[in-house]
Amino acid sequence: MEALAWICLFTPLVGVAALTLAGSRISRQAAAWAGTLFAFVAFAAAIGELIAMLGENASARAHTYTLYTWAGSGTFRVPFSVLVDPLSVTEMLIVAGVGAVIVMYSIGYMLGDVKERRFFVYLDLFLFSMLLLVMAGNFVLLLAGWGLVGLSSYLLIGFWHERPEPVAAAKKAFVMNAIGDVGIAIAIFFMVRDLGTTDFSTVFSTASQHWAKGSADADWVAAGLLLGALAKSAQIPLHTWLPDAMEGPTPVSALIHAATMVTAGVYLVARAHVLFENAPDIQTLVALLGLLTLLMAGVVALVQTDIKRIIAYSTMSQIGYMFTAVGVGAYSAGMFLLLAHAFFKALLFLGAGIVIHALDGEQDVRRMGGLGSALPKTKWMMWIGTIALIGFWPFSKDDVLAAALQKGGATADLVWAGGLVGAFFTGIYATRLMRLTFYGERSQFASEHLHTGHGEAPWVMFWTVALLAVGTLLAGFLEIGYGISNVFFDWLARVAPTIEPTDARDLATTALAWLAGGGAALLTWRAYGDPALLARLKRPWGTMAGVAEHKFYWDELYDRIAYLPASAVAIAIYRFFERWVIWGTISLVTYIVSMVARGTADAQTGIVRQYATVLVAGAAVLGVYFLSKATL
Amino acid sequence: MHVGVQWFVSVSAILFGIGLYGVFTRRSPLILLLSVEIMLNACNLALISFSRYQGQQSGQVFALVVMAVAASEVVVGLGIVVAVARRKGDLDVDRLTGLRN
Repeated sequence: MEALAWICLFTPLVGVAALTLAGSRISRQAAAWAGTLFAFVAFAAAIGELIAMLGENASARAHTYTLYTWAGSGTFRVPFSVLVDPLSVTEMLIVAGVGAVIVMYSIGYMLGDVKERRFFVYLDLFLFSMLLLVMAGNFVLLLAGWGLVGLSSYLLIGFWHERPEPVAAAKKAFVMNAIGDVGIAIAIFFMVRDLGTTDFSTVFSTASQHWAKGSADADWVAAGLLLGALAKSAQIPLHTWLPDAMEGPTPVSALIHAATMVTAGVYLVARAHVLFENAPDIQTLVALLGLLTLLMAGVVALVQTDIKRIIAYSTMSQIGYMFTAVGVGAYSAGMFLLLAHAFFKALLFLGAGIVIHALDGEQDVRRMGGLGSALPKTKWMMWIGTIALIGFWPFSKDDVLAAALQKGGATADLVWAGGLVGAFFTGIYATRLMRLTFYGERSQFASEHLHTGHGEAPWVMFWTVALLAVGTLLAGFLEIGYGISNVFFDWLARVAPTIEPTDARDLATTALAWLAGGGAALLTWRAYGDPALLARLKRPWGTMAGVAEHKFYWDELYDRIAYLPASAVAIAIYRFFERWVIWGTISLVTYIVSMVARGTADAQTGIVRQYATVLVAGAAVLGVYFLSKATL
Repeated sequence: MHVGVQWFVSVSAILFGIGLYGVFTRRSPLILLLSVEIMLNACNLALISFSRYQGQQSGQVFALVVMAVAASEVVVGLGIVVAVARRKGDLDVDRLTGLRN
């Protein structure tokens, strides 16, 4: 349905304009509710689109709607067109649905903030940008959405710009993402040069004719797209911005840095999987970088002490799983993890938000503890998220691993084994988070600062978290496998296929993943109840923990290879070029000018008749000169 | 009786000389301005004579422009003269050297 697609895309933009123009003429509460309403309208339109599409034949489920020609040069045209197919409808539902719920949660979370109205404008701007990204019908429009989500992310990370840390984090995110944007732009240049179009359908159907499989050009295109995906999805080596981005308000972390924007890289690879399959080396790289990220982020999450950073590293790790999925060719398995992750990670973040809210903004898990009795409902809802994160209920993570096992080959086998190790780490950090926050003895700090006078949280916060918990549980039914339920994979079969494992492999992988995650969880649970056991378990890993606490020295590495050389060059330029060449030239010019001026200033006597004499004398000299040259 | 262009040019040169003499010898800015006006009109006369002699109109156009410039100049000049007279009460251009270096 064309109208529904445009309504879904533009409603949040209308919201941005309306809230901006209304300004302080409407109350903060009204602005917040209006912002939420716009998000829900977009969600309703996305649901309408889903219903319309379900009524169609599977082969007819791809519509391109064009509004107008956005840009053109010669025969090259970039239409403002959206592609509505099962993949984009899935993303629309996730973005608008989870987005609307989180915007609603923000009504409670941001209550009383002096910049409340602006916050909701930014959130609506983000929703529009993200919808543009997932609905775009060509790569240029996708890049526009890609850049706009980067902008919204920048604005929202730096929302509390009175403190220096959010500003630095916002800049870091923006610069890292700019690197990725360049990658996508390069891929687009190749498309324009060789294919003359950037429309998805034409690019995907003609790519293999112009770029031979595995050729340098095919690699360049896929590598450019991969660079963009790595930056946006915080994968090694462009991942360092995501933990810092936690300086933003918690709903932002939940919406942008967990549920939607950071998974855009997975969407991009799934959407452009034809181009990645045309460059097998790059696709292998996708899987390996994802594997590396999921393991590294899993290890770092073990030692983090900030509740939001633990979840942030967990996000990075889960997106690593999604990358391995799309890297081995199990696209809808990756998308299913994306869907499940959007629910359970938003749930965990918003639950953490309730905890932070109840503790007056404290985020250090070491200062929490024993909050379970004060926040029982939050605790149980976060358990649902934790169980999903470890990989018990929505069979999402094990789907990815089973597909890798089914595919076989060195990379896929490595992904399978590494993914199981990652599941072990996930079990540890997820359980540690719950254990430290909600159980054990209540810390001095927590007893002093806890305030739950009005129940656990304002009702909008509580019920939105409950919605996400229900969503997490229900999402699992979409894709169970074993012939019970295969709705999700069938739905995406034409646009983002997957590798269906045999039941035996599926069962074995699920069992192993449960064993790894569940075993780790039980071990962690016991260890935190028994200090001697905990110390004994920790002892052999002292060095490793030190490395992990420094986040594997990535920030230090980038400081050394990028920041320090750049600042050294800048200082050198300042010392020599700026000081001597530029300032030297300026001083020399001013000196010469002032000397000449001093010399000629004496001619200014102020006596008018003297001036007249000079004038007449000059005219006479000129007259004589010209008369002498004239031929009379 | 036909009057040749040389007569007109001669009158123009004489007028110009009178104006120049005034500029050099007088000290009152008012007379200075008047002398300059005489010089300008001497030029106008020369322009118009040559224009007629050549049978072209451009000289007349120049003369009109010069008149406009002269009118503006007189307005500004007289304004300055009045302002200086009010402020200093003394109108000797040789002593009005406030703009020297």
